[in-house]
Amino acid sequence: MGFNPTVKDLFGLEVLAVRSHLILALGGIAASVLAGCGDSPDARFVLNARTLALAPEAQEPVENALNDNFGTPTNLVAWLRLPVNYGGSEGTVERVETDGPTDSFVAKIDGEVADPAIYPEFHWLSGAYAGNEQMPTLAHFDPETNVVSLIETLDPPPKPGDRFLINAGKTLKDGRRLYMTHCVHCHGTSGDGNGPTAKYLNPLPRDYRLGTFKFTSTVRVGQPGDKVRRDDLARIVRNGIPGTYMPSFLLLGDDETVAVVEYVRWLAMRGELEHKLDADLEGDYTIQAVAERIEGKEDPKEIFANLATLVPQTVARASKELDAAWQAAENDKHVIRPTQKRHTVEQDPDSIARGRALFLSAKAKCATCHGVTGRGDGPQTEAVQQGNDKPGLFDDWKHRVQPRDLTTGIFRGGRRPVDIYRRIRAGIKGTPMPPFGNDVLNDGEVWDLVNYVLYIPHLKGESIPAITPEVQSDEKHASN
Amino acid sequence: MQKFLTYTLAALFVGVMPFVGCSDKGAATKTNVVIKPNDTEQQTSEKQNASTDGAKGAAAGFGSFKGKVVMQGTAPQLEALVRKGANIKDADVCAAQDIPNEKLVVGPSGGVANVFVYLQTAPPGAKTTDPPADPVLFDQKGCHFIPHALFVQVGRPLQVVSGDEVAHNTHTKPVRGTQFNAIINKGDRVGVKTTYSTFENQPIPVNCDFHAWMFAWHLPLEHPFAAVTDEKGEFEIAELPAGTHKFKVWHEGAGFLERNLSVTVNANAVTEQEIPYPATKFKP
Repeated sequence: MGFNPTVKDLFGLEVLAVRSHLILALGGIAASVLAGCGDSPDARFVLNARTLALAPEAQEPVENALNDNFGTPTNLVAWLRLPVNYGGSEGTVERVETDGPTDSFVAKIDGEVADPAIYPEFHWLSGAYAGNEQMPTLAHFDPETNVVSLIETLDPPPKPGDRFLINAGKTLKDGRRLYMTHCVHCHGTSGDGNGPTAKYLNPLPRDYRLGTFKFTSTVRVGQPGDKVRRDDLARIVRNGIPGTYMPSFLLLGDDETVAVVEYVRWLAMRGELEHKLDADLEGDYTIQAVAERIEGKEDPKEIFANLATLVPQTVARASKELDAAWQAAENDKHVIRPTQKRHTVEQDPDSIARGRALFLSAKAKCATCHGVTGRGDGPQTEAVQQGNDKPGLFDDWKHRVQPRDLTTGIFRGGRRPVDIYRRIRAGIKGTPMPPFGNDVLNDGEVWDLVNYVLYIPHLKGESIPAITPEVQSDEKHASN
Repeated sequence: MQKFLTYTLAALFVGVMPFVGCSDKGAATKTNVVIKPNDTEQQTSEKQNASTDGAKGAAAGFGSFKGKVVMQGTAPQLEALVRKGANIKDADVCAAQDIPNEKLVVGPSGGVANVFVYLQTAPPGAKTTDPPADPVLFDQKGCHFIPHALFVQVGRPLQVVSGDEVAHNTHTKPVRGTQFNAIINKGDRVGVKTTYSTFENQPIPVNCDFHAWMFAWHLPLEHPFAAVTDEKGEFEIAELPAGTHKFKVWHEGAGFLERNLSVTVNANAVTEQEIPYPATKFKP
């Protein structure tokens, strides 16, 4: 017995089927023609819950700061303060044919020039026009003669040696287009992990706005360089995340992957700036705090006066922090690399037993959360952490998380031994999975744990391999 | 034939859907990019606005603020978080004795412990000094944090140690700064050193991911003008420039007891003040 419909079952009443399909098809076409496509609203960035908890007078400067520095989904702002590769090619003015007003000049461009009809953005980096708020528009580029033509007339003309950016923001624009095609329905326009399909998913799509990503190759949280690297994001885009709804986008080309990764980084920085503004404002400017302050006899007019200086200060400091943090992650020295080579189980048959002893030990405490059998059902999953009103383990997004069930052999951050090594060494960011530094576990011990963790799915009810007496005594000692 | 027709129509129906459907406006809309220059140099200095209306520039002298936070009314009797001998994780260490509930600690004369009294920013005229180089000890003993409430200056080393025969995982949850999350080996008296790199606007929680009941509060600030009340509810903040200061008063059960406690400090004098709050403010 089982539900196994045949074609005949589905189309049993053939005549009726023909009619109903006809009606449906025609109806569908008619409906969409009637509904029209021009009325849907523009995509919008939404404010996060913390900003929405601020008094309206405090919300406004936060929203303005975000708009000034990041724009809207249709009018993107590429803020050069941030370590984002917005794209475009740099060029230099070589020759200007006239002393008078002109709209064209001969240039030397480092790289290719893309279609001006799609990427008309042009930005002066030096010379008389640098720093102008109004950007000129690229009309045409002739690759034969290297003549750049703008729509606007330049009076006075630019000078040889002036630097500019042509197709400025091309990567950001491409990234945005790809994101709004492939990613938005889960991750949302703002990168809040709250797209239209998100509510049907478990686990939920990542909310980028904390600037925290779980599976990185970088050092543990709190150290310089702890952010996600472009490489890490690109690997996730290419491979997907096993055991979740994040699919592989291997069919995107290399350039497209680069663009979408850059856009995600940009969205994450935007979200982080909002959170940093919230962090500075919510102590004194939430709806509740303002009510308390008015109750405490403060002058309502005075309360918000400070924001005119506080918000720009926060933006300045936060952008500096973002710049440093995201740049540091790209520095190779912050990638976690084992100092000792892994011995495979064939080379070192006792490794699994030692790994198991560590797994159960008071030193590593893996079983506390992952359970003695590795099913992710350790006692900590039912304990009520102080500060919470519900039992269980929670992540930085305030979602309850289940420690990984290691018996399934599905590893979200990747199944290469080095992936698991990094999960142990750096912890899983944004979750209670802690990092195990050299002071707690040496490299040999981490590799023993990796070998054991990789072996757990193959246990299939069999007993754990015999532990040598030496290891047994270690385990006994450790659990005391 | 009819079957063929059905399939064709069905295929046509499915095939036509994407074409008649509205295009995803979000993706298809024409997008503009505006380049915003790196405006680092034009930006205002990072220093926060002063929270004090008092002396501007060089202070006319320095004084102290000495006070006592008092609860008016009857303090509730809190049960121990963990009873001696309770059947809990690592019971031989953690349940060797009662673990007190420090969410609300009230002394015999009504003094409330673990209340943070602080200036958000350094007052103008304050002596600028580097943060002390000697570390502040943050200890774990009997599976609870010592102290429960801790003020630490930004940049001053915080030495997280353990006196327990089990490992702990100390995990700070700052709002503005970055987290500290490290395993402290059993009995590790050297422990792990960390520093807060930025201030917080109010105390932040610290927990141990291994022992659910373990909980503490830290307040990092970029100046020394802060204190935590002792078991009698008393505190003292020294070296304040003469003038009027506005203190924040915060307790974990109450949140902000006050955001603008106005206190006038005179040169070479100690301003003493009892700060009373009704018992209803404190929710343990």
